[in-house]
Amino acid sequence: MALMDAEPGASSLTVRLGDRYEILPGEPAEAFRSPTADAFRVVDRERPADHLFALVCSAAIPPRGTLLEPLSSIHADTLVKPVRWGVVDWPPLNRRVLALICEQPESRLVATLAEPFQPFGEDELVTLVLPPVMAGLKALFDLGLTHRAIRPTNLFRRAADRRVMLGDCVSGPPAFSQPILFETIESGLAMPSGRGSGTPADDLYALGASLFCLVQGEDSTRDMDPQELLGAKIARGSFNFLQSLTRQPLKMSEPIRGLLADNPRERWALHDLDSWVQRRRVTVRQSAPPKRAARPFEVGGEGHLTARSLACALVRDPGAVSGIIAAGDLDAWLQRSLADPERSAAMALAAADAGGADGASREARLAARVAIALDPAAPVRFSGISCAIDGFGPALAELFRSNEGAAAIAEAITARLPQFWFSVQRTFRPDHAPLLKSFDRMRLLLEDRRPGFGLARMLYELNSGLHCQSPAIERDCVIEARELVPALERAAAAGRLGEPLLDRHVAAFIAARCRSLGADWHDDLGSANPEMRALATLKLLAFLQGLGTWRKAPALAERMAREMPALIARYRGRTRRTRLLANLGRLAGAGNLAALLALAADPAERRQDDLEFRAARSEFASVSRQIAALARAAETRGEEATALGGTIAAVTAALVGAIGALGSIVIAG
Amino acid sequence: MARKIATATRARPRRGFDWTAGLAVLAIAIAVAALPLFMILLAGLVPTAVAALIDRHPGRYLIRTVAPVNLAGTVLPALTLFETGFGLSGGLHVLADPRNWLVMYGAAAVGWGLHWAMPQIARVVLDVMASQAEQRLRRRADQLVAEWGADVSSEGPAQPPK
Repeated sequence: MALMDAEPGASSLTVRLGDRYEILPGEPAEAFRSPTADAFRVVDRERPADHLFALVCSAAIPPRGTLLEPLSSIHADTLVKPVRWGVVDWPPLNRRVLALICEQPESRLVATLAEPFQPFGEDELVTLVLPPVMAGLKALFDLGLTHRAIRPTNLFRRAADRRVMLGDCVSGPPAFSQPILFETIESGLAMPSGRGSGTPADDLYALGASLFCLVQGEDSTRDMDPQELLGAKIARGSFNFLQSLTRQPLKMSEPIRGLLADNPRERWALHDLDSWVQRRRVTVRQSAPPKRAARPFEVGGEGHLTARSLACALVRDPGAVSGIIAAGDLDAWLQRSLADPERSAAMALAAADAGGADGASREARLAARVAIALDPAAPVRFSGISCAIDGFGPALAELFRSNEGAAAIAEAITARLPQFWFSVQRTFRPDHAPLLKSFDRMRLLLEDRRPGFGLARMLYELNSGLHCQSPAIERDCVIEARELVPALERAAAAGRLGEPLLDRHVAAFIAARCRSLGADWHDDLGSANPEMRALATLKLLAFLQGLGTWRKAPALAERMAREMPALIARYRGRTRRTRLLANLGRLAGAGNLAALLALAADPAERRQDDLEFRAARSEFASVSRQIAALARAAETRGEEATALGGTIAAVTAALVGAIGALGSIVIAG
Repeated sequence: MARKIATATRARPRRGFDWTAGLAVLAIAIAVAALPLFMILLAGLVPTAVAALIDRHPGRYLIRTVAPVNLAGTVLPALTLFETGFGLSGGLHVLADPRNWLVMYGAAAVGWGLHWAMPQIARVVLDVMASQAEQRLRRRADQLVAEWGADVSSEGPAQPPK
């Protein structure tokens, strides 16, 4: 899709995306960059007057690939949405990257939250900010999507009418770049990459927090430690805490209070906000404070009055959990002091089955289950990871790249923590069903040791937009399976391909992206027999080369050709092997992997070889029998010679006698 | 019924022409009708008689070889007997001529020679043919092994190649 027009480093360097768009790496568009993507100016060759910019996604963070298609189909002009996207060669990084071409807004609404800015008036917010933002959100929500990146610094003014539009939400994982202020307590408890796509209520909370900042003209929490901020929100409630930071009466307190309700069921929905914008009057439901215990439960010398606070403390100190459970204090506290029978029942469930592991692993599992039981709305927290139920994928991707903690996610899934999380939820949402099914499937994938399974497979299953992480082709940013062969070809040409050629990442990537392939190839690729492995590799490569536009792969074919003699040796006929080996070099040079496969394992050729072998064996048996018969005949050859010789002698004698008699008559006459 | 079976069991196989009796009758007839000729034949066919006595092979190759040429060897002395008047003295005259003995016994010797030589020659020819056939078969077997490997010589269902 992408072509480089000039040598890297040249001033006129452009990177082309398709035939139409030229990205200018030398002209950054700083005003439109996002925390997960750099921005650059773009020239539209068909409509040069259009203002566009490109977001060049970071290779270290998986984009929300599933959002690209639906987002581009939305007919709302209140979203910064990609009009075209694709993987391009990116000379500044000497690798390939995902680039998103977007229509360029005029400017960012708030350049930074690190400093105070001009507060926004209520009129401006009600006329220029809220209506377009609500329209953008409605378009997203109608498609079952969420934005998850609503914050003042990700709001832009449109060039046409200075109305506001929502910024990029695709270049990174959901809510990855959101400060804690703009995230619900539950989402804030999750690690940034594990916050998940969430629900519209999460976007509305972020909008409420954004409104708070805009009316205040600053981020009042900018100097606070994120965990301290989260703790304060947990302790006092989001709105109460933020209101306490204001020095003057809070403007627009109604919608901010409604949107910042910590209980999602009490939080304003989009229609509530719309009603307020239309009539400026909506009844704000009073948030019920979290249930508080009559007496605190002490963990590590610190007293906790709410189940959520206690859950956080237990997650920080998993070693203490088993002692607390064994002592029975917690159950008594839940029943008598907190008077929450639902939590008490969930606790009993959590303590009943912590899995078959032992030692530290069991402690961690127990702590995670207890935390889920105490705070069902919070993310799954286990061994240092913390993921919303729909945030496991991006979290795994981030941890995989940083080489730490990925195993913890695998263990959490193996320990069925997500299933336990679902079991203690008060309501089972419709979108939970596919998630639950997916976690059951992931567990099976993790337990399978064959190539194409395991943690790597889970990585690609849970991150459909993630590029292949194989070290040999990571820099090629292969997002679609049809790009695998060109990437492997480049790696082969550069000598980057290791052994095995299809490593666990490539195998898992193929398994996740090419469902039509079936599952037979996993056994062959993991076979102890090197020829079986080579054949499976060749079959996969030939299949992949047939996807999309066919491009020859001579370097890859040369590499495979090195393993082909062993495959050709599977033919029985020497003449056939000689002929095939003679063709090998020519086919490898042509870079046609399907032809190589046909050479190595053509069913018709193999059938013919087998038939001819059977005929040869039959002939050999016949020849052996004839040789044996000759050997046996040698024993009776004397008699045979006697009979034959005697017969010949008798016939000869008769002839000689007749001639002699006639001769005598003639002589005598 | 049992008698019928016993009769069938005892039934003698059908016999062909009895050559010994036939020859005896012929010899008596010749001796009565033409004694000089009988004398010449009696003297000249001694090798045939010896062959008949010693030939124990079921194929009776010796007698079948010696007899025709020995008989042919007596034709010339017999014709000489006719020229000498076919009397007893003529017969003795013929038998007194060593050339006639040479002809009769020389012809018989040719028969003996054929009978001795032909099996030897046949043996040599058969050995050569068998040797050539074996060489051809072994060459073909070697070709098959070279083309298809040692598995081609194994029995049972075809195994996949290693």
